[in-house]
Order: sequence, then structure tokens, then C-alpha cells
Amino acid sequence: MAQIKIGQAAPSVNLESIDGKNVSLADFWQDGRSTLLIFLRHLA
Amino acid sequence: MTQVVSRKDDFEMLKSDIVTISFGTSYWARIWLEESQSPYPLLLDTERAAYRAYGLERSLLRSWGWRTISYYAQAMWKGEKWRGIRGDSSQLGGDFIVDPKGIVRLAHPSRDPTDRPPIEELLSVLQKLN
Repeated sequence: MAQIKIGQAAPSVNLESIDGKNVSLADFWQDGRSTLLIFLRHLA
Repeated sequence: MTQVVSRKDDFEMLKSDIVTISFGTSYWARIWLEESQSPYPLLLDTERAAYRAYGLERSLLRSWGWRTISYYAQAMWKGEKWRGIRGDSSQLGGDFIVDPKGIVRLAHPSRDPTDRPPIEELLSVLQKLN
């Protein structure tokens, strides 16, 4: 699996919010703000 | 995650957004939000499309190595509650900072569950982008 490196374009993936809304990751950084993405492990 | 929640004001001062992503179900996600008191948006990725896109691996060996067992043992010794395993415990997480142009400025795929970037490193990268 290819790992993401610094300087690369960040992949934007469409995901679902907890309320069932469709959200694109790019929606966050396209707002003009830096974004910290935290990928969790299992929810414990 | 606990530290990211407790340093919320510092992240806000740097005008940055924080987004948490989970491959879990909405049922467990709601419970986790309540338990963690996380104020950040939580997105669900049950198909793990984003996990794959960011190169985050599954590894049973690295997920349950001595570092992980030692970490959980110490946490329980300090009084933390063991909440059990909710989902695929082999899936590893990671942390990424993306600037407003969509370029990755920090990439930290976890080698094991205890491998997360120090909070000061996250704040430092965001400060430079500010």
C-alpha cells in the first residue's frame, strides 16, 4: 500500500458524518484553514 | 486523542480544523464521542476508502506487540477503564496535516497503536502554516 508523503496532494475522499450527511475531506481545507486529520483505531 | 481534546484552545488559536475519522459504525461512534468528549467532527469510513487512500495498514502483529500491551497495562494501572475491542483491532491509525492548498505537510501513519506524533509537533507544523 502506497504511503502518503509530505508535499503530495492530499487525497479527498467522500465520507459520511455521524448525522448521515455526505462530507468531502477537501471541504475542510478548501475553507482556507489547515486541517489535522486524525484516523482513529477501533473506537475504544 | 485525549491530549488533542485537552489542547483544543491551542489548536483554535492556530485557526486550524481538526477532523477525526473512524471505520466504526455510527452506533459505536456516538458512544465514543460521549466517552471521549471530543468536540471535533467525526466522519465515518466504514469501507475504509480514506484509510486506504492515506496508506494506513492493518497489522495484527504490530497492533498487539509488547509496546501496545505495555501501554494498555500502564493505562489500566493508572485507573483507565478497559473498554474492550470495538471493531477490527488490527487496523492502524495515523495523523496528517493538510494545508489550505490541499498539500500534505505532516504525514504520520502509525507503526503501532502507541505511535502517534507528539502534540507539540502537531502544533509546531500548524503554527508554521499559519
